[in-house]
Amino acid sequence: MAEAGRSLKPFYLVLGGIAVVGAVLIAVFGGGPSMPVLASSDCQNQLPGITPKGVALGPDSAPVRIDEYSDFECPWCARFAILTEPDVRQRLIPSGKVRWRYMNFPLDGHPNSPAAHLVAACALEQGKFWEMHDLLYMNQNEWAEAQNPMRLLMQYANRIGLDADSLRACVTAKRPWQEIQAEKCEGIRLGVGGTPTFFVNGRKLPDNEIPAFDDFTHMVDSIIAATASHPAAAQRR
Amino acid sequence: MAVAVLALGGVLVSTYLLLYKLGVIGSMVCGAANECERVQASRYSTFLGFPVAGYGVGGYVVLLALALWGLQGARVSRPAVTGWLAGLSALGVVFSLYLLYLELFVIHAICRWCSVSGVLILAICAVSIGGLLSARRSPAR
Repeated sequence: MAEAGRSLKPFYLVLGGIAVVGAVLIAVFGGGPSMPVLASSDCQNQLPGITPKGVALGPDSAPVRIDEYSDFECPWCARFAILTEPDVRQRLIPSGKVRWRYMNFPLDGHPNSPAAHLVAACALEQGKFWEMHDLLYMNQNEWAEAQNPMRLLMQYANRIGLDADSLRACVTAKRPWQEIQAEKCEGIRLGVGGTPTFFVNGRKLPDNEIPAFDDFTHMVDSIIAATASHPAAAQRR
Repeated sequence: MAVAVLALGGVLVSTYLLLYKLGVIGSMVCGAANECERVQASRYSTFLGFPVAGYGVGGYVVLLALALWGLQGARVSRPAVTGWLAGLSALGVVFSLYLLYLELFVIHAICRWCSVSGVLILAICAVSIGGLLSARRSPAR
């Protein structure tokens, strides 16, 4: 020790070395903004005290309400989003017969999914949810496999003209996370076990059934026809 | 010297946790179950409006500064510094035990890095109390 006449210089060098090695390790193991984790089991203990809204297309007064519980990292969801949903948006929604809601349902086993859902929800703050939705599904193979998906997700944000600083602030603060959590917990409460899962006027379609566009058209037309002929019975569907 | 090394370890660990909490760094190295991230995502990861890890960084920096100050030979009363180290680290141990309780019985997830921090503060407390007792036995030092 100093009082024993020994120099402290070697000790300070060792201490400095430890500090440098520690800082390097933190830098090496650090990456983009951290992402929250949402396990299905989290919904058993505490449901967030907010109403799940989803992202809706079409009028609230539409006679048919379709809710799609979906995960951005799920390949079947991507398939549906790429092959069927464009027709739904271009042909079914404008008819005014349908209100379509996208409900966030990041699956437990998909590590990059929370980041994608968070970025899409933050894109919604800038009015570009569906643009981000489409990019995420079309490029799923790219970002879903990435070690640090945020780098790619920010590139997509730039591609659709999002304000990068606002988006980063939203993602870092995880502003829409409770809404995402509420939607997933609502899905679990309603019995959603996989994605995509659809509810038509509150009735869950069978698991593993991914309807084609014509199936949706048929369902919508038959509900509207039933409403016209037997309003009370149609209400119960 | 041992306390300085332990406190520096604490500064590094709690800085890592704080940077994660602030969203500066990506996913944590914490095993497959992501329990660190679950703990950090819980509402218990903030205390009085500030990240718990922030208190850790502040506490360890103070302990490190005290430990280095205590090495400055005759200019400093070592028993007094050791007393401060023992007292402050005992507070840290109590706070770590409270956090451990939350992890085990409320959050149901164990954050390994938080546990490392808990072991470090416990070691600092033990070494400081040991130093204090030794100083009382040999007051000439």
